[in-house]
Amino acid sequence: MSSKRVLVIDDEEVVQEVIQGCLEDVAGWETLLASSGREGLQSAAAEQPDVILLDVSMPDMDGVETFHHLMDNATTCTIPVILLTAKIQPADQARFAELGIVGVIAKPFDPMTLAEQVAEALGWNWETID
Amino acid sequence: MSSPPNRSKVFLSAASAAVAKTAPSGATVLLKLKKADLRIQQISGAAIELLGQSPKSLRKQPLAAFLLPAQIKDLRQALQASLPTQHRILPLQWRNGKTDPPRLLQGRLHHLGKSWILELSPIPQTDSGLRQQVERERILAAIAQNIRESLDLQTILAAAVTEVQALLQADRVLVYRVLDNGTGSAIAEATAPGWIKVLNLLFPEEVFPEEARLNYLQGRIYTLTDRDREDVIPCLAEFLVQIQVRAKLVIPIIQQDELWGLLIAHQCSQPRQWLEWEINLLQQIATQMAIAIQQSELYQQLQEELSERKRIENALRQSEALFRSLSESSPIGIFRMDTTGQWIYTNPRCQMIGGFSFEAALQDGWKRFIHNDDRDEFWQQWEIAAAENQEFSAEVRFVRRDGIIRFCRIQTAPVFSAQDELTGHVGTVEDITESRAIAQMKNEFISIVSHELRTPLTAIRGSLGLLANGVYDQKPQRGKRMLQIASTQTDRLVRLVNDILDLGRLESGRVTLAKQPCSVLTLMLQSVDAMRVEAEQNGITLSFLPLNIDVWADPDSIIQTLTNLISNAIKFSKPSSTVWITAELIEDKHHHQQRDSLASPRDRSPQESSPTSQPHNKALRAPEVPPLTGSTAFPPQLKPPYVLFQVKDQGRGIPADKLESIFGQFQQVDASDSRKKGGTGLGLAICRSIIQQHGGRIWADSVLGEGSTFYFTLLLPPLP
Repeated sequence: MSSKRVLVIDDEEVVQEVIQGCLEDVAGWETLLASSGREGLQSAAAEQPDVILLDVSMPDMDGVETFHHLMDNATTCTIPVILLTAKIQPADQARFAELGIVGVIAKPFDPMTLAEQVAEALGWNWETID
Repeated sequence: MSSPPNRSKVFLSAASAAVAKTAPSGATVLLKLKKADLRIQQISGAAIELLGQSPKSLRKQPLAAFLLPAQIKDLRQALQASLPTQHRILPLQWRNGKTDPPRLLQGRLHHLGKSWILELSPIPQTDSGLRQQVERERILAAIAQNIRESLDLQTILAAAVTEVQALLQADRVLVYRVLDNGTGSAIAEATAPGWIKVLNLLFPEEVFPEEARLNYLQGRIYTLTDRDREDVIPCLAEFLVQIQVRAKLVIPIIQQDELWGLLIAHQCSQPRQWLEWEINLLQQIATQMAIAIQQSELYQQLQEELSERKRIENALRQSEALFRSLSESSPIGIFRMDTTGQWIYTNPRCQMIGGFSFEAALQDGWKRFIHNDDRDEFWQQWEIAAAENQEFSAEVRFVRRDGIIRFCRIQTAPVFSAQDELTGHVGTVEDITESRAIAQMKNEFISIVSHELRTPLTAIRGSLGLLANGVYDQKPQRGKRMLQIASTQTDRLVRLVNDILDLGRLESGRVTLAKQPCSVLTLMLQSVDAMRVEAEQNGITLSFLPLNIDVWADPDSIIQTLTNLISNAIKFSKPSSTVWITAELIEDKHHHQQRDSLASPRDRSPQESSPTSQPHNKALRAPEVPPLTGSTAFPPQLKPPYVLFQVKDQGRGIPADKLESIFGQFQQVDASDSRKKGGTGLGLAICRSIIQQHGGRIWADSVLGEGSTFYFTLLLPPLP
């Protein structure tokens, strides 16, 4: 399995940096960074990443709204989306599942297994990922 | 035309002729009466002697003024029945007013043309039968009258014994009350002077054997002519001696087939043979008394029933008033439903909460005020609970006519009668709008706080996790960056936690501010000093205009407020710009001028009232803007004197719609500010809390692109 390209959409620059570290320096994946929903939509359409890690709480356009836009766009609707959120109440989980989100990863996450959690949510075989 | 003397002569001669043969000896008076109305037309004879009236005072008077109605009636009957030549002697009682004792007379009627002649003369002394008949009638009439006039038993009895004693010339007359236990006592007494009184004396059982009682019950009377000569049982004889009785007459008073008591006449001075008419009279009186007693007892009973009814009515009224006041003044809404859920009562609070009138809520009316989305479910749920006779509780929204929505908790409970039958349901309505809003705010705050805490924690855990696992052992530059992230995010976390704790303490009132007179100059100097380094780092000039006056404040918290405002001003200022810090005393005169200018509507265009439109004018104004929080903890109008602080920058400005909300929690103008500017989103909320607790106000003005000014006020120290 080849290296993965992950688009990280998060308005917190320090969180972006840390996720980048987790994915690039631990798993050897490639990361693309976006600081807002709008920026993320453009990047997703242009770069066609393998997966999008999407922060829920963002100003202006929040994660859920961004997700809807991604789904509405033919060029991005097939890209799997994993939400990164502090909100992990059961009601939220159910709502996210209904929306068609493949996985939710709670903040703060374990930096050493973040990539593994992403792979698991997508059904990738972690062992065979390059 | 005849002259009066002529007429008088004719009358007298005619009258003399008519009565000459039968006129009795002694004083006689002739009254000429008009047939139609029995008015006295002429008088002759010894009117003053016989009647106690002068002829003049009698003239033209109706005869009815002096005789009892019954006697007038007798007279009229006699007139109709008698032929002119036949006449009957009638006993009459002539009365000159109520107080004068009646004069006992006999009257004869003579016909004379269109008139009658009434011949009045004294009753001859020898005619004791007539006299007594009159007297008997009089005493009976008097007792009957007393009975009519009084329903009080004691009055009736006292009147009866007095009358009888006077009539019989007995030494003592008693009413003896028979008690159930065989004894009895005198309950009314009239005793001639010189004889002992026996009123309330309890007569022993032996003197009143069962046999005597049975005799009396059958209406038999008892007469004793002479105690010393007749066969009297010894104990009775002894008792009679004790109470000085020589002769006695006992008449039973029977009331509803029971021996109520005895009417007793005593002769103490000598033996006495009781005459037939005396016995008869007393029997008649006893009968009258029995009626009077019965009436009195009935009346008494009625009075008791009436007063009992009145008492119950009062008690009911009081109870009703009590329960009405409970409901009418209740701080909770109360309503009453019938068994089918139709509303039949609402209390004022219920009407206030639901926004309906008493009438509008009746029957199904209340349903119209329930939110469309809640109505059907509420009703269905209620019917299920009601069918099981269960208590019910639900939350619904009432929509008032003005569109205001109130969240309410409605609870109902079935009401049962004493026979355990369902009579309806009682319900309460509680307005939970405010508590819901508070709970919601708390939830939101917790949600925001948890997010705000998790962001730095995510960065810290991530960066330290990578470092700890040796990911950057071979990449020192990246490792250093991760350490930097961990460090700055730890600082952010510390600030956040401190601010949350600060705000929590301030808002819960657990912080007691040590207010004291503080020099405004010192407060400003210390704040500016604390911010100097940060200003220099950002290339900002701090310019301040101090004021040498004291305010009433907790210095630490005011320095915290000032430094927070200055720090914000620095963060949002363009490089090389200036932040001004000023303080100004606002005094009464100044205040009035401002008030006057604000009070004149002509001078104020709608734009001027907007806090953003004229920040420079506004800066000099008293805080006419409404309190930012809507808090009522301090008076809506702040009265001078006070000190107005300003922190003014030349930064990017604040949109008008955010000028108030920035003082809320986590309400930055731009959500990314907390990261870019290092703020926690709680600084202004803390400032607001501090100033409010000083009795001051805090607000902001701004022009986008030109800059913002933050104001707050502090009071002067209280006068010593």
